[in-house]
Amino acid sequence: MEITELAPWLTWGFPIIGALLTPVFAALGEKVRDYMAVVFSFLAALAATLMLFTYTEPHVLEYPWIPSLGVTFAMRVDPLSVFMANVVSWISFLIMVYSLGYMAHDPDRTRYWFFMNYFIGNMLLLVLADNLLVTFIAWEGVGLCSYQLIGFWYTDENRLAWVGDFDEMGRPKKVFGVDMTYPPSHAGMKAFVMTRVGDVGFLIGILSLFLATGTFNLSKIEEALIHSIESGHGDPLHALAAAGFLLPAALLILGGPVGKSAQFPLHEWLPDAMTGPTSVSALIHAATMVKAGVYFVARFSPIVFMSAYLLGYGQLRLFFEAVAWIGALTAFIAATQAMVAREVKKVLAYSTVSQIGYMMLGLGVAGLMADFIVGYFSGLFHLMSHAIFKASLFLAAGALIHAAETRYMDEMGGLKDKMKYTWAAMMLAGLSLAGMPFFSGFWSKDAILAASLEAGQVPLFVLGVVTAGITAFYTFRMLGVIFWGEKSHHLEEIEHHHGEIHEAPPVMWIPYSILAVSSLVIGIAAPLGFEKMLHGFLAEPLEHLVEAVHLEAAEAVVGLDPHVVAMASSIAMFLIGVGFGYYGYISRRIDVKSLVDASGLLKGLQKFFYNRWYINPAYYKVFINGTLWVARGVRRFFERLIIDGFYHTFLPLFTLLTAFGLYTWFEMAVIDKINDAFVWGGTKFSNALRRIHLGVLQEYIFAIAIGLSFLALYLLMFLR
Amino acid sequence: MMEQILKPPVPAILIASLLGLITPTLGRYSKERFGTDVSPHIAIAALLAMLVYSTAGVAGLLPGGAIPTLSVDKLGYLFTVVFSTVGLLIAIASFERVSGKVNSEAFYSLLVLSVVGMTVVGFSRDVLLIFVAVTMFSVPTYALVALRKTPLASEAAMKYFVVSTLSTGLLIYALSIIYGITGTTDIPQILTRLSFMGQSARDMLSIGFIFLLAGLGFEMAIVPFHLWIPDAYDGAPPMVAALLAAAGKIAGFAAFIRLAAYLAPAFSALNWTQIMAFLALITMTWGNVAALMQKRFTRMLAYSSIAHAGYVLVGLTFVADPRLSIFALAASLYHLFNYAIMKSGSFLAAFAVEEGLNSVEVTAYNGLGRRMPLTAFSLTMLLLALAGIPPLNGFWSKVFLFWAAISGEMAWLAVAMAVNSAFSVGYYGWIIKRMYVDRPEAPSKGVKEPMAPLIAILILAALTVIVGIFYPQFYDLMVKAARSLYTTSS
Repeated sequence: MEITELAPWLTWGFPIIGALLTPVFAALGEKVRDYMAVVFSFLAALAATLMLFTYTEPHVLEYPWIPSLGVTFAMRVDPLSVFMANVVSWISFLIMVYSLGYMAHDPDRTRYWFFMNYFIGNMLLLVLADNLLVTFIAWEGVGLCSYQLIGFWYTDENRLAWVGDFDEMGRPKKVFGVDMTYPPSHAGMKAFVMTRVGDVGFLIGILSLFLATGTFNLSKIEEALIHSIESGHGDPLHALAAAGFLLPAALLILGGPVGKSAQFPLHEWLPDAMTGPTSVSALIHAATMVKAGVYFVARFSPIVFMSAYLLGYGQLRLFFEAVAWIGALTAFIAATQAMVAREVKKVLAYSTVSQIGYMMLGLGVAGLMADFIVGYFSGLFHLMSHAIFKASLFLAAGALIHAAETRYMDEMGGLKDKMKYTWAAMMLAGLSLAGMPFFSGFWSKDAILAASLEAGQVPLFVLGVVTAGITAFYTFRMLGVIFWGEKSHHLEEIEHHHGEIHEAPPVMWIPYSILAVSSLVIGIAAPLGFEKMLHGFLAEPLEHLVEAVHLEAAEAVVGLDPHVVAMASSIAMFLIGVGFGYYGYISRRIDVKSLVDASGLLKGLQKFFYNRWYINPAYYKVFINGTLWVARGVRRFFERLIIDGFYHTFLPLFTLLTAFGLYTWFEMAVIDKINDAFVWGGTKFSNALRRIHLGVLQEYIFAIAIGLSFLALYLLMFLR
Repeated sequence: MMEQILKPPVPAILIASLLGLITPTLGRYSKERFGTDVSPHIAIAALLAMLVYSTAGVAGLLPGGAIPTLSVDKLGYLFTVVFSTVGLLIAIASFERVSGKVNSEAFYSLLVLSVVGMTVVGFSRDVLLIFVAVTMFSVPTYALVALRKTPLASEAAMKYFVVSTLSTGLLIYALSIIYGITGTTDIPQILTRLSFMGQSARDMLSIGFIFLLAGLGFEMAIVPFHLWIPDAYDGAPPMVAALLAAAGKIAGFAAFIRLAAYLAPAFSALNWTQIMAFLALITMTWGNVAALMQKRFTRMLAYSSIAHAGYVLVGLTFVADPRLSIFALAASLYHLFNYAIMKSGSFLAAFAVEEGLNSVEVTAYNGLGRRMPLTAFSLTMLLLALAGIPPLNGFWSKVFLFWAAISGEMAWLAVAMAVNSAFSVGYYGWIIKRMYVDRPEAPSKGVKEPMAPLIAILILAALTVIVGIFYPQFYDLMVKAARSLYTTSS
C-alpha cells in the first residue's frame, strides 16, 4: 500500500483503534491509558498532516464492501477533506491534551477516553468518506458519541454539570410550566433525539439519491453529472425530477446538517449540550459534531450547484436560499440570546450556533452568485477560524469553571489578575470572535459578508452585519463580567474555604493558549497571502464549475466594491458592539442593570431572549407534551375503553354466561376437577419457572439469535 | 388407502404407538400394580419387535419403495435400528429403577412414543411430517427430563422446553419458506421443482436453509444452538440423558439428512461446504474444550456429545458435492451409528454408577475398577471408543470422516478433527485413570452392581468391539443406506 493510500486509513483508523484499545490500556495502568489515548489522537493528527503533504490531486480510494448491492467503501482525498481532516485532528489533539489535566480526577476516565477517541475517529471518517452510506454510519457514530459524552455525568448528581437556572429553593426554573433547566442525562438525550429528527430526512434523501443515481458515492454522482452536462444525455437526476422529488430530496438531505449543526429550527439542543465535561463541549463546538453539518453542506453543494445551473434544474436555487436564510436567521437569533445568557458556556454555545449560522450563510450565498467559490471559501475559512478560537474559548471557560466552581459569569468577576494566562488567551480568542481586525475571525467573517453582498442579497448582508455588532457586544460583555469588576460574593466564599484562586495547570492552559495565539497568527498571515493560498487550495477542484456557469453578477450596491462595504460596515459594527460592551462591563460607566430595569421594552426583550425566544418551551409543549397527550389519549380511549372493555367487561360476561350454560349441562364435579387440575398445574409450572435462572436462559436464546444472525449475514455475503 | 397403511413400516409404527398409548391406561382398568408391573414388559416387547422388524428391513428382507409422505428405504430402517436399540436398552436398564414405581407407566409410555416419533422422522419424506414427527419425539422427552421431580430436573426440563419451543418455531418458519417457494411439501418434489426455477427462488430457499439450520441445530447440538444440552443432559436422569443424547440427537440429524442433505445441491446460493465446515470446526472444538473442565461426569459427556456432533458435521460438509456425497454421508451415518452405541453406553454406565454410588461427580469414579469391576470395564471400552482408539468402532468412523475431509480437499478440517480427537483423549483418559489408578475418597468397599443397567452396558461395550472388528461390513451397510437416500425417493 502506498503512503497516499495508507494515510486516509490511518487518519480515521488511529482514533478508532485507540478507542477500542482503551480498556486494554486501562488494564495496564491509569497513566498508560490516559497517555495512550492522547498518543492515538496525536497519531491521527500526524496522519492527517501526512495526507496534506503527500496530496497531489483529488482522488477516490475504493474498496469492495457489499458487492451484491454494488456498494463500495470509498474515501475521498481532495482539498476539502484534507483541509477538514487537519482542522479536526489537530484541534482534537489539543483538546485531548487539555483533558489530561481537566479530567485528572474523574473516576470514569476509561469511558471518557473511549468515547473521545471514538468521537474523533467517526468525525474523521465522516470527513473522508465518499460513500454516503459510510457518511451516514459515521454521522450516527458522531451522534452516539455526543449523546454519551454530553450525558457523561449521567448520575445527574453534580449540579455544576447541569445547565440552566435554579430558583432560591434549588428547583429547576420553569417557563410556561416547561423545565428550562436540564441535567446531563436529559441534555444528552435531547441532543440525540433532536439531531435524529434531521437525520431521518437525511437518510430518506440519501436513499432517494441512491435510487435515482444507483450509487452512494458522491464522486460518482458528480462524475455522472459532469458526463451528462458534457454529452447532453444520461441525466442521472431525471427520474427524481420527473417524480417531482428533486427539490424535496435536496431539502431532506439538508435536514441532516441542520440538525447536526444546530441550525434553526433544530438549534435548541446545542445550548443545553454543555452538561458534559467542558473538553467535550470544546470538541463538539470546535472540531467534531457541529462542524459535520457545515462540512456536509460544503461537500454536497457543488452537486446541487451543477444540477441547478448546468443541468437546468433551476428549482434547486431554493436549496441555496434555504441554506443562506437558515444560516442568517440562526446567526441572528442565537446572537441575541448570547447577549443575555448568565452561564459562560451558554454564551459560548449560543455564539457557536450563531457562528455556524455565518458559515451556512457563506455556503448558501455561494449558490446564489456568479463565483461559487467566493461563498464556498468564505464558509470554510470561517469554519477554520471559528474552530480555533472557539476551542480556545471553551477550554479556557472550562478552566474558569474549574477554578471558580460556578458556571454563572455573575458569580465570577475580577479574575483578570488571578488567572493571567487564561485571561490573555480568552482575550485573544474573544477578539477574534468579536471580529477585531487582524484576527482570523475578522477576515473570515468579512469574507462571508462580502460574499453575501456580492450575491446581491442585501437583507442577508444586513442581518449578518447586525449580528456582527451583537457578537462584538456579547463577547465583551462576557470578558468584562468574568475578568473585570469586583470579586463576587461567591468567589470570596470559595477563597475563604479553599484558599486563593489560582491559574490552571500548564497541561490545561498551554493548549488553549496555543489555539488563541494561532488565531492571531492566522489573522496576521491572512492578508499576507495565507488567505489566497487557502483559497487556491480549496478552489482548485471547483474551478471548472465556475467557468462553466455564466451567472449574471449581481448589481453592485451603491456602486461600491462589496469588499470595501463589508469591511467598513463590519469594522463599524465591531466598534459599536465593543463600545457598548466596554462601557457597560469593563469600565462600567453605564449601569446596564438600571438601564434595562428602567425600560419596559428592554426588559421585555431581555426576557424574550433569555427564554430563547420561547422556541424551547414551545417545542416541549408541542412535541413532548403533545406526544404524551396522544399516548395518554390512546391509553384512555383505546386501551381502557376498547381493549379493557373487551377483556374486563365483554369477556367475563360472555364467559359467565357460557359457564352458566355449561353448568346446567355438566356436573359440578367435572368443573371442579378441571379447576383443581389448573391450580395444580399452574403452581407446578410457576414453581418450575421460578427455578430457571432467567439470565442464563436468556443467554441461551440470545446465543441462538446470534448464531442465526451470523448465518444470515454469511448468507448475504454469498447472495448476488 | 388401506393398502398404503398395510405397507411395511406403517403397521409397525402404528402398533408401537398404540402400545405406547395404551400403557398408561392399564392401571385404570386393572388390579392395583398391574399397570406399573406390566408396562416395562409391554415397552420392551414393542421396542424389541421394532428392532427385529427394522433389522429385517436393513437386511433387505422387506420390500422398499416410496409411499406418500414416507420413504421406505434402508436409511429409514437403519435409523429405526438405532432408535429401537437405544430405546430397548434404556427400557432394560431402567427396569429396576422404574418398574413397580408410580411413574412406571408414564416413563415407558413416553419412551415408546418418543422412539416412535424418531422412527417417523427417519422415514419421512415430507416437510410437514418431519415437523410433526420432530414435535412428536421431543414433547415426551420434556416430561422425561423432569422425571426425577428435583428442582434441578425441573429447571433442566424448563430450559429444554423453552429453547425447544423457540427452535421449533424457527423450524416451522424454515419449512414454510420452503413450501412457499416450491408449493409442495414432498421433499423429492421440492428438488424437482427447484430444478425448473430461477436463481432467485434458490436464493430465497437459502434463507429457509439458514432457519432450518438454526431450528434443527438445536437437536443436533451445533454451536451456538447447543447451550441447553449440558443443563438438560445433566439435570435429567442419566437414562433419559441417554435417550436424548443417543437417540434424540440422531433424530435431529435424521431430519437434517432427509431435508437439508438431500436438498444440498439446490442450495447453490450459499457455500454449503464452507458453512458446514466452519460449524463443524467450532462445534467440535467448543465441545472438547468445555468438556475438559467439567466436574460432573454427565456434564462432561454432554459436552463430549457436542464435540461428536461436530465430527458428524465433517461428513455432512461434503454432501453437496456429487462426487463425494454418498461416501461422505455414509461416513457420517457410520459415526452416528457408533455414536449411538458409545454415548448410550456411557450414559447408562453413569446411570449404573448413580444407582450404585448415588453420585455423578467425577470423584465418584475414583477406584471404580475395584468397586464395580464390570461396569468400570465396560465404561472403559466405551470411553476408549469415544476417544477413537483402534480397533474400536469410534476409530473407524473417524477414519472415514477424516478420509472424506481429505478427499473434499479440506485438509485443514481433517487436521482440526485429528487434533480435536487427540485432545479428547485427555478427558476420557482422565476418567479411566480415576477408575483404575486413583483411590476412592470414601473407604473402599464393594458395591453390588445393579443388574439391569449392567446388561445394557455389557451389550453396548460388546458392540463397540463387534462393530469395530467387522467395520467393512458395517460400512458397506452405511453406503447402501446412504445410496438409498438418493434412489428410493423418486
